[in-house]
Amino acid sequence: MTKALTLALSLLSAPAWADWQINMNKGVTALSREIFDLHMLIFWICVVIGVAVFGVMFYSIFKFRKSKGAVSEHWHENTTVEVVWTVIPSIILIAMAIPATATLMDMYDTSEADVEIQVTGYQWKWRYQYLDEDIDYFSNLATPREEITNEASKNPNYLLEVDNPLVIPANKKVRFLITANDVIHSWWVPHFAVKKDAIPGFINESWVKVEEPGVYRGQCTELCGKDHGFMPVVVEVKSESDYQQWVSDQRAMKLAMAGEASKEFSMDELVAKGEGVYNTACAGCHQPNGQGIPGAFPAITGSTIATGAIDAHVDIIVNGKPGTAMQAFKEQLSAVDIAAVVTYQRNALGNSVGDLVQPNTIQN
Amino acid sequence: MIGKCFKALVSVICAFIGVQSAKNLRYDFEHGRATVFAIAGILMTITFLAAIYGLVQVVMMYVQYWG
Repeated sequence: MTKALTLALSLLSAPAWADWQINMNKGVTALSREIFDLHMLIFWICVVIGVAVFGVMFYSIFKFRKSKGAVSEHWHENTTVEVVWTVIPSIILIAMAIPATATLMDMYDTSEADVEIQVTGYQWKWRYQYLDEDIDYFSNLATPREEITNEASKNPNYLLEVDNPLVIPANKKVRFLITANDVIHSWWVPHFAVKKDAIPGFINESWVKVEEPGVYRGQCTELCGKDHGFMPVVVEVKSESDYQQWVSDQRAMKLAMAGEASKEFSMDELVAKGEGVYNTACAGCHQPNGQGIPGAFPAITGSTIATGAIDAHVDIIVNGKPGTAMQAFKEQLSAVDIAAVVTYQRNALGNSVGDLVQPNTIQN
Repeated sequence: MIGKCFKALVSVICAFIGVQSAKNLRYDFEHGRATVFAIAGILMTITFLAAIYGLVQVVMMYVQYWG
């Protein structure tokens, strides 16, 4: 009895309910609140209709039960009642269409955006290209592999953290042009009430205007292959001045990277850098130990490409292998990253070819 | 004749909202002509489409005030 009471009380307590949120998010934009309000309005209309219909039904079943001597009436139709129960729902539907259409029109109004960003889904990462700025980067999962393999305890943002989040300014209308490079993905950030399919060859549009700076997290929500659950979306909303600072930092970083590409690296430097690149870009398929998955993804350890001619090795990473899951990485990785990962694969993971490639060779 | 046509039109309207009495059904099958029903059906389809179009215009008009 005490146990049952404790359980009942714990179910009523606020923290239990906080963990048990089953309703939609209110979100952090005017539009997401509008969508939430519309959802609640329609929900309560449905509740009222449900209570009325089932109320009458259960009352009739109870009141006119057989044990009380009720006898069923035999009749074919009642035109008046039938007309009433056809006309009333029609009026309710039309009345609901008015706020729903207003919200939909707001959702589809992508005009007069301050910032435009192309979002492209890849297996299994997102690419963000700022159309008005010269900014273009990939956003990869940043959750440590040890957490995924249960060798370390999981942090609160497990599988919801990336190396390069999407950065947008607060209080500005940001328009997203959403597409995909390989298969269908879907870009979803619950707090923005934005969930759009990313389809190869199509561009879907959406927009957001976030009032408060903060970090908002979402996921790919269209089953897109092996690592579908490992390509989260993280959006960092910055104040206008912080955003401008970030944009200029990105430009400076790009210049620095271009300068780095002409530098000569030592074998140790390339291998050390290559390990990080490998774990982010390659390990998903070829596995962290380089053994691959037999029948699906080839091993790097002892592979004819990773131990053969270095030009062919560079070529398959730069251009991919058509007809297979091996992507072209020339858009995704810098010349330094490619040089590093090629050198790493040839001199680690059980391989010891002993040669290296410099970033300027990749660039040429 | 006009009376019969009117009755056919009413029956078609009833069919559109899925309501008809057994008495009218028997009457239609005994006295009605298929051609009249077909024409009434086509007319009602056109009217229905026009009504949907009009309805959308009305909803859109309200939306301007709402949003």
